[in-house]
Amino acid sequence: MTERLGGRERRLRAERVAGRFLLVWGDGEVRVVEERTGRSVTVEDLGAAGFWEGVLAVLERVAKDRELLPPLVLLLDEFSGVPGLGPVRDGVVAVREYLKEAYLALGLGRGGEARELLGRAAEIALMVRALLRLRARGAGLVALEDLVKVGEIEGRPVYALKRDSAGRQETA
Amino acid sequence: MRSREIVLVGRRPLRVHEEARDSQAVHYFYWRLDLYKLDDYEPVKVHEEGEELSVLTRLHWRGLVLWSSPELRRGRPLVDFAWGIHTPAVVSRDLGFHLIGDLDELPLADRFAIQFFLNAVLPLARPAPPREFSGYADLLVREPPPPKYRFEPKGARYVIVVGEFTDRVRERVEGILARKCSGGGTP
Repeated sequence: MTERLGGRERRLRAERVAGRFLLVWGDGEVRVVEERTGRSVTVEDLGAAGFWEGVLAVLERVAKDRELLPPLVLLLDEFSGVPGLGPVRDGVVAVREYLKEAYLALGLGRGGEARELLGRAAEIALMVRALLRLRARGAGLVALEDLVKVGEIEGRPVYALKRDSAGRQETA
Repeated sequence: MRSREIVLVGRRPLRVHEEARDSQAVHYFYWRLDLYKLDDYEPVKVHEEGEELSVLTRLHWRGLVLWSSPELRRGRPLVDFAWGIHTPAVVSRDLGFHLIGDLDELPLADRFAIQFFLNAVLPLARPAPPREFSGYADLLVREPPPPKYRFEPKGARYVIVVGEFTDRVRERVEGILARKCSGGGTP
C-alpha cells in the first residue's frame, strides 16, 4: 500500500493481525490500524492485555516473515513506555531485547541461533500475557521491590517477601 | 529401574520422558507449545531423604525451584502446570518464599521470570486444591529428552525455595550452590 505524506508518496507494508487489525509499517514508522475504519489504535483503546494479543499475533508470524522483526521491535519499544505496567515492563523489554538479538543473528546468517532467540522471546511473551490478564482482572502484582534481603548463603543474598498472608516472612 | 509415577498431575501433558539420574528418576513433562516455540520439556525430580520429601523443578531454563513442603495424596506430591507456559507448581502445605541469588546480577529475562513465578505460578501451589490430580503411567516413555533440555540443577543462576525454610533446607541449598562452584554432582 502507499500513503501520501507532505506531497511525498511512501510505500508501506501491512499485515493483518488478531483478526480485525492491520500492522502497518515502513519509512521507520509502525502503527496498529483497525482494518474496518482505518483508524490507528493505541494501547489505551485496546487495554494493555488486548494490545498484547496483537503483539503475540505478530510474533507468531515473525518465524515466516522476518521483515516483521524491526516493526515489532519498534512496537515493543513504544509499548514498554506505557505508564503503569509495573513488573510486566521487564518482560516487555526482555522480549524486545531477544528480538533485537534474533535480528542481529539473522543478519549474520545464524538461523539456528535466531530461532532459539525467537523461542525465548515467545516464552517470555506468553508470561507477559499471563500477567497482563491477571492485572486486567484486578490482581495487584508482586514485584521484585516487594522482596527484602534477609541473609546470605554461600556468599549469595537471600531474599524473602516482605510479608506473606500469615506474616511469616523475613525469617531466613 | 522400573518406571513409576513420581507425582500426580493436575494437567496432563502429551507424554512424559523418564531419565534415570543417580538412584532417582527425573520426569520431563512434554508439550508442543503454542506460538512457534515448540517442544517444551518441564523436568520434575522428587528427592526423598528419610521421611522427608521435596521436589525440584526448573524456572525459565536457569532458575531452580526447591519445593520443601509438598502436599501429598496417595503418598505423592501434586504438580500443576501454569497455563500456556507449563511452568510446574507443586501444591504446598506452606507457601513461604525465599530467593537465593543476586538480583542485581541477574539478566532481565530472569528477573522477569521470578516476577512471573511470584504472580502466576505460586498461586497454583496453594494447599488443599479442590481439583483432581491424576497419574500418567500411560504417558511414560523410558527415554531422556534431547540433550539441550536436560535438567542441570548445578547450572542454576538462582534458587527459589517454596515452603518451610528449615536448617536442613538451608543445608540442601548450600549443597546445591557449592556443587555449582565445584562443578560436580547433582542435587
